[in-house]
Amino acid sequence: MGWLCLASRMRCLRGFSISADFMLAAFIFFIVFAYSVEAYHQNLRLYNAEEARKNTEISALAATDVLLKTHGIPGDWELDAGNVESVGLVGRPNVIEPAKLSALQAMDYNHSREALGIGMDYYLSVVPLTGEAVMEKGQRMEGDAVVASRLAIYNGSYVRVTLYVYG
Amino acid sequence: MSTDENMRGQVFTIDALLSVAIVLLFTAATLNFSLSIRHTRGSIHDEKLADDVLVMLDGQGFLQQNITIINRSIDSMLRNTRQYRAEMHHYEANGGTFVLLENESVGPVPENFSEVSVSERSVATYGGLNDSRIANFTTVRLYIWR
Repeated sequence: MGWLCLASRMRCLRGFSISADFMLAAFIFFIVFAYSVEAYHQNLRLYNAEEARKNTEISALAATDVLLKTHGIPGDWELDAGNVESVGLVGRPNVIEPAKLSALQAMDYNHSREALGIGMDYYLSVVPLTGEAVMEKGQRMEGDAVVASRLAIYNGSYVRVTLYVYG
Repeated sequence: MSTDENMRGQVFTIDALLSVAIVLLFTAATLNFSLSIRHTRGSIHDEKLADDVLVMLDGQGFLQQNITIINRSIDSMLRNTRQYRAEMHHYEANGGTFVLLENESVGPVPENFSEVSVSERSVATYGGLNDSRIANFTTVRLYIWR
């Protein structure tokens, strides 16, 4: 094409169209496109963080389900807490047995983490709806925690069972 | 000035229109996705809470009582942390079918059902020691929301 441009400048530019409007439109288009791509990536990060949190929340709720709906494995694990596979606190659903609660409190913290099936740091409390805590296990920590709060009966009173899981 | 002269210098192509439409759609989809993430948290937690309440009421034999006793018990459990509505439906066996005897309810009807968690539990009464047929049953449905 170079020889054509030499021959005639007009012939070289034939078919081209450029205007300020077009440049402005292209500029706006790229701004919107860049914003969309950035928003997409930001949402992806948000989604991943939300998924991770949701999984931890499901683990925490599952752990409270095991605590308040099962006897544990074995069923009389409180007699020999060293061999517990899964910690359950109840005889009947949502009715906590004091012996099982005491056995959990006395259990080694690292062992209890595995037996609760969460494998993460946790803090568990059993608190009457009016009054002082009857049981606390683990350490409250700084930072973001997932909280699962459930209701149960302990010694004839309603109690709130709260599990904080630190992911 | 003719229309043709007014249009001089205008560039219009299907490609440009399509690309703008795609970008706008992409932006709308991204924003919509962003909003939906915030709503997927759902209320698994409140569903479990409602289930706990009904399980404890059942364990204490309250589900076969009247709505006033149920209301008092739920009130003492939730202690104003949640709003709730309880509905009781009593059925009686009648020649192979169950006939609705009575509906009872307590609490306001929730305004926004998308934020309401529901749990339901039924208790049955049998005909007698030597009669395994269900004589009547009651279904209790508990709606809770913040």
